[in-house]
Amino acid sequence: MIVTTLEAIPHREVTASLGLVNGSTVRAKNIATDLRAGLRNLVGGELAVYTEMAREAREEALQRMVAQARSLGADAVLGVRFNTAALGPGTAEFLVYGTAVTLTLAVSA
Amino acid sequence: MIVRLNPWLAGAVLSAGYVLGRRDARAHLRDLAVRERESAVVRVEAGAGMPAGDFACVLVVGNCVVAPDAFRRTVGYWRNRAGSRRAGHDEQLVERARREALLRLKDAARSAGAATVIDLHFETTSFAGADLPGPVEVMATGTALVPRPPS
Repeated sequence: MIVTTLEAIPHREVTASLGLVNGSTVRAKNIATDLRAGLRNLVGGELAVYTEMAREAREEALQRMVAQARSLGADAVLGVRFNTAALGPGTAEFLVYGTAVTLTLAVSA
Repeated sequence: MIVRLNPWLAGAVLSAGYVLGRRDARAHLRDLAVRERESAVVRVEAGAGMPAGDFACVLVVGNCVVAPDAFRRTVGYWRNRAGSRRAGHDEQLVERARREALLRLKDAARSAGAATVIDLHFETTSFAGADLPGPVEVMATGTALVPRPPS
């Protein structure tokens, strides 16, 4: 499955658009009760636990989107965009969406 | 807040936050400068224009969450109460996160075998509470172009 931010892929032609696909997860982490983040709360700088949480959440959202595209019989998801919405302190929704399409090799050189 | 509980403890926390926060920032900026020179081989473009050649398109992402130190957070809290908006997130802090996110995206592109990333987008999200400055994330996304040998 090709997953890309682009709207067209070199040497491929879109044969059918299967519509919008998306995946999302909601994650929460309370920094005040997270001991590893305690010192970071004082010093500031990168909060590695948060960075990792966001990375994992998007990975899962991507997997859900790809599963949805696969169930439609898609070859690729084009125009992929991410969206992050803070729902409260330490809580956020991680969304990814794109257009599922079927592809064929481009005939014209 | 701590400020009302014990002025000595609050003073110690704020000074420690100020000193350690500045030291952490300086170390991070030095580290960024070194790694940015190393990853300069990866070309990054905001546009989606495709160069000539055959490429596999690989989605690449880089992110970084940063938070202000105790001193800046407390200053920000009082400035917010005084009416200024979203104080305490100094520009340098968010800029550090942005450079770090871009570096991670470039690292992902390099390990995929790409020398070019196109269609770059940034997204910045605040995970902070109502009036206390808190964590901010910068995420970079783009498409890494991995050259394919002519078949």
